[in-house]
Amino acid sequence: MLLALLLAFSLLSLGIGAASLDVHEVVSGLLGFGSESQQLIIQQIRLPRVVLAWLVGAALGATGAALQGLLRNPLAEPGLLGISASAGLGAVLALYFGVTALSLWLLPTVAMGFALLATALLYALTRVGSTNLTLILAGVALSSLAGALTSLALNLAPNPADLQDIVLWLLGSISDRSFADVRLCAPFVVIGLALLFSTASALDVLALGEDEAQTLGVNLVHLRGVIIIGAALAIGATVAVSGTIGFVGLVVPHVLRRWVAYRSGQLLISSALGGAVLVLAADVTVRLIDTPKELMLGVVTALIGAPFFLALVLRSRRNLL
Amino acid sequence: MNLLHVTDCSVQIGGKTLVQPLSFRLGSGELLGLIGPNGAGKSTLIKAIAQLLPYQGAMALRGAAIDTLTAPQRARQLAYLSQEHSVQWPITVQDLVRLGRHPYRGSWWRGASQQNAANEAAIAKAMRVTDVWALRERRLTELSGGERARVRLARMLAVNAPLLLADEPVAALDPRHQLEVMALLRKQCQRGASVIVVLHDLTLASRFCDRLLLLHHGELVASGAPDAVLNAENLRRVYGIEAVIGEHAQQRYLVPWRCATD
Repeated sequence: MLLALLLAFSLLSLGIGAASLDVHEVVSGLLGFGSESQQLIIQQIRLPRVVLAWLVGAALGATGAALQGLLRNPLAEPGLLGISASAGLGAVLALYFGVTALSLWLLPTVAMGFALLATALLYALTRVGSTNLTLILAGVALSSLAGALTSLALNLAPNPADLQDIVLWLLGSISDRSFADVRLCAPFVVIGLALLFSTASALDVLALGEDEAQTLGVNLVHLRGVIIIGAALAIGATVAVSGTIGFVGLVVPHVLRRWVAYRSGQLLISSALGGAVLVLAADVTVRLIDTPKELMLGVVTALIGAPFFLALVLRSRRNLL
Repeated sequence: MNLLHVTDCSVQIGGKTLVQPLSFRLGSGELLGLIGPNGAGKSTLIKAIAQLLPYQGAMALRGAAIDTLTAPQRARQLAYLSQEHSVQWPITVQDLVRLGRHPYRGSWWRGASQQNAANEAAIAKAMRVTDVWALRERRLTELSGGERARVRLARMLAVNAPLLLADEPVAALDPRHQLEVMALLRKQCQRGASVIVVLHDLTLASRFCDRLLLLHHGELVASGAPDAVLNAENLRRVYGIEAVIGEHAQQRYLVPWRCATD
């Protein structure tokens, strides 16, 4: 089902744009037939955007599912642990100090470096006090810190051009990306996803609580380490090329959970697919809506995601009482 | 034949000694009750036995030091039921019971079908023994407290471990379900398993357990047959209560009656 949706949205995404193409033209363009200009549009302009949507969506969806399973908390998502915010801070600092002028590759590298730094810090903290509550609180503290430092950079930005760069970055988008961007983030996303998927059965068992899971042979320290590193690789790499796109990691696992009978392990792969579908759909929407300036993807996901998040908080509070 | 051998074990957390050094043995087919007032160290001790807390001293399972076993080996030898009753997701009963087979999951590339058959058999057996077979398609969140307790027991039995550790399995259950759970643990002992159970209910403890360990402020103050441990002196000194002790069907029973006056 999700695969079919993914395929449909991918074809749609390849078809729409300044030069509108039908399904036949899209497929022939992909396979290297059709006119030269059509091939160029499909393969060089629109395909990277689609592949990037897959990668970003899969990374966000799977990371959200893994974190929710690990923390046994349906409100967890990459943003919660400060991984996205830290990667964003890295990107902002790179823009701020103008190192992007030295090499295009520096921007993503710095973002991934910050995501890994945040991860290492979280990991060190969870080794001392080993409850999930510590991890959540550490994540909240970390994301506030990264947010504050990002604001500081904006506050002190020397010229308006820098400021615009930074603000646009923070909004999150996958437009005008090339295969260079895809190549840069794909290896890390793939490794990150593989790490996350490897934790599937352990995440299932974690439904019983940490103590019982441990007596069933789940190594919690190892599990936390694998998920945090996997999340850092996937999120750091995607933030590096797309900026911060919020709420996908929250919404997708939540919607799909009942379809996999609430098993956290099963949820990983379906959330990766679902995330890809959602990001693609949001991106197609962004391009279809006729606004004077193209809407930013991160803005759209936040507009849909934030009310959803609020509803979720209200509902879970009612369940607790 | 002793299944578990605990020698001079103590538990310290944050520089505070929660369980003083103590030693005991658990025989095969024995039902051992851990009793004592709140904060006596019962849960701490059972968690240490489940290898969830660091401890000093030695524990041996069938003659082999527990801490030399690998995690999967240990997971097949001891099954633990925690005190907390929270299962976060509304998964189905059979999915929950299936989690008890996690230590036995086969590799997908070899022997998976054989292992799967064994797993399914163990799951079905555990659900029948605990009488939750009819509930197998239901979600955990739809069940009553008593049903949920039986499902959690089924999950523990599915492990097929020789050593069962249950931390207050009858807390918050009505009398019928309390008796059911205790009778079920008793039945596991008749099948050769050994059970350590944390209990607050002294009536149940004296009725069902072969032997009791009485803890007070982290110290083992008495151990032995229920009749010997639950004497008037210990009840007054440790619990600060007086109890009515009687006999029914050749078995001694005990009912806590009133607070002791000094």
